[in-house]
Amino acid sequence: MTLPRAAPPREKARRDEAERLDVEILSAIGGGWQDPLTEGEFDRLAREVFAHQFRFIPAYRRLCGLAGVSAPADVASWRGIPPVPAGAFKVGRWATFPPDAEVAAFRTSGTTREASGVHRLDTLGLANAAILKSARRYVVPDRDRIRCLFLSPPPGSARESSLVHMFAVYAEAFGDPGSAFALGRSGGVAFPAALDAAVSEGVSVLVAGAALAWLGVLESSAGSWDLPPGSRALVTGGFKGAARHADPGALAEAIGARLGIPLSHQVQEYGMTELSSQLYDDRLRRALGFDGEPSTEGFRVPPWMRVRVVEPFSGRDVEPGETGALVHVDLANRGSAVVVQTSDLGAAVEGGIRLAGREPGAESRGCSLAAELWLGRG
Amino acid sequence: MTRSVTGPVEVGERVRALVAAGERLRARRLEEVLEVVAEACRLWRGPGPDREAGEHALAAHYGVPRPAIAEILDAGFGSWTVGSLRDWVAGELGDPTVMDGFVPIGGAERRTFGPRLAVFLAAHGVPTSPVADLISALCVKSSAWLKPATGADDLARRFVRTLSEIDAGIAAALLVEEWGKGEADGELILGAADVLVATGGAETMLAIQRKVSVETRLVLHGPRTSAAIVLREALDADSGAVIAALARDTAFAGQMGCLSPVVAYVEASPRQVADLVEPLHAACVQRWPSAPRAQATLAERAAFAEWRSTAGVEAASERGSWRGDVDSAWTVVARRKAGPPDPPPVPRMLTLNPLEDIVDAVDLLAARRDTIAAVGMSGPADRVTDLAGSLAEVGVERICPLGRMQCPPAAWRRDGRTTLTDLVRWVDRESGR
Repeated sequence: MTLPRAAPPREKARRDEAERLDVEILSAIGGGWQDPLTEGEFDRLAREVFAHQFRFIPAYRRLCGLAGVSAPADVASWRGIPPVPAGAFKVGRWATFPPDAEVAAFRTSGTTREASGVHRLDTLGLANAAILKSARRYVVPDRDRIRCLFLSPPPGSARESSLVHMFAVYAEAFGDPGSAFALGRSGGVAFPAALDAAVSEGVSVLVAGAALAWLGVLESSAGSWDLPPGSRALVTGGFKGAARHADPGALAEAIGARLGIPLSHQVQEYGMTELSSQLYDDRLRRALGFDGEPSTEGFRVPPWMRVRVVEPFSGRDVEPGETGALVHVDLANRGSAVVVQTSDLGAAVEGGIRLAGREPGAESRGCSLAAELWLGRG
Repeated sequence: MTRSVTGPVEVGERVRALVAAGERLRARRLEEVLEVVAEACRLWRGPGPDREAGEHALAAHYGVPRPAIAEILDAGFGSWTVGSLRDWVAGELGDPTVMDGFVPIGGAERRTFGPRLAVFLAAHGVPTSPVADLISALCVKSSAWLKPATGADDLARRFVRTLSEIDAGIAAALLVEEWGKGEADGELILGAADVLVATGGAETMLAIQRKVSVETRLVLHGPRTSAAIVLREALDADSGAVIAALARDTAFAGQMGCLSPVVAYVEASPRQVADLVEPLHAACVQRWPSAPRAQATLAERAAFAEWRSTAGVEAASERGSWRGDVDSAWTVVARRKAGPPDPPPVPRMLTLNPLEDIVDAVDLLAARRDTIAAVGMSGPADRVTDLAGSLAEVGVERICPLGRMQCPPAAWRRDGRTTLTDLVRWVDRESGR
């Protein structure tokens, strides 16, 4: 019998620190909106995660050095944590942990494997908790389970997709036994047949997919359905990479016309492979009359996240309501980059962000070149 | 700023006028039309009031000195002469007179007709590209409505005015105007078009495919990039000439066209390639000195900021070096390890890739198969010839000497396809004997 080798002291220190942080982060996620982190608690935890990443990612230490941060103590608030550009996930191995501790690796879109980035995780616990907490609030706030139809391949044939992983978490947590992955090589269920079944059985259904997958299934199937009340759609993507090709307004209209799902029940999600947490709009919650929240626009930022809107070159926060580049602070990114710099544009709104020019579900204007073309704007 | 044509009455009137002018155009001999087009191009080649005013206007529009604009006009209008236009038509249709009547071609009596109305949707790019669209329509005696990209320069309108002064009848078959907001005007115009030619990004292409009826012939020019290849012998013989040629191709029209290389594969060590960054950056800035990135749009600034931070990570990992920060319009990057020819995150960026054996460039270019518009090469003829065969195999659409990437002939087979045959309708006549 071979005994497992004891971890070297530095690795043990890393693991112990990671475990301690994970307990705190899971507690923050678990507290969710009922018991949200105070600004002070968020600040402390964000800086502790930053210090952990500073210690265990040499490339990040060098990046911090370029930003004038030579030690974690140089950072006085979470707003001062040097952001990691999303592109850095394409450069080397951006993780606090050694390869043998890796449990998942989600790959960003790219023209080649070399051109894509990789978000490596040493635990799925944080990501799964974040996925579920937000989905329960914004996608299924009104029920324990729902039949899910995912416009994606099944998890077994898309292990590198963070989106498919998110759907797998949905399926396990609140998908009823008729749930299915509608695309892919094995175990796929035809989109029209699944909708036919939902209609004939009178079962409300969640249809979820990336904007481009939605376009694909709507264009490849001729029928239309009047899905039972309570049915809902989730549209994700449409903001980065290939999914940019979708026109959100036209897609929302098509989902309403073809599936009988009103705009009020078409939840929009904003996520990135480089993040562990997601942002949703709260239109479904509002439509279902939950907790009398004020009417809001844009994507809601969960309590364990913050989003800065900055002037790209200076990195300084812009005035509230002004458009800038988005910098995400996600505590659930404990093993990679707690602060991620993007080239996405948006503006801060009360409790959330509005993406610039790409407000999904809005009228078919200003969302893409498609709209621009047909509205005569180029 | 011009007003767009708006509403069914105005749009209908313009379409009817164009179709009527197209009918009159069709009754004229093609040779006569080509001579008028060539004369208009001649006026834009040499000194004269149209050229003078055009250079001033475009220089102001793009914020660059006149010589940068002059280079664009020389390259475009220099390629359109009576002879080159005639060769273009003959090369694609077999015999220019096939546009005027039946002629024996390919074992049959044939003639061709251009569309009654061709609609061109232009994208932001090299200023002479919309002019090329209009000329292609005239080469098949078609009327044309060209919708310029929003905020585009007005070179196409200026060219139509020049044509009008030479031959108002021919110019009447061309219209360069935007149409009104809302779908109705667009549907009305496209409903009248026999052919729609669209240039743009993937989003535009998808949207158009969904909107156009099956009766309308659709010609789509989607996203393309280009690359340069520098062989060891060329660099060793005269690195200054290589830098000048590469900068000329890259900086032409601010890298707005699909023929501008966004990557260069250089058969040299990473150190040698890094040494090219500084002079190439300087040459690009000198050729197209537009405003620095600090004054660019928010989207460009955000994309550049993310790229710059990533480059900082790469530099920290010793993966590359670069020149051209926010105070410059241009950025030149030297990678330590070669990568595929991905489109750059921001305009006016050139990435240099070192390769020990240039043959590896073929595999890298194959990663973006059928989207490489052009490869400009510098090196000894035998090696260039060998490489050309391999590049053609992986879908490269045009191969030319470095420094000549921006000077395609009139008959250039853009996107690897013919231009005029995409527009015309053939008629075969059989005698019954």
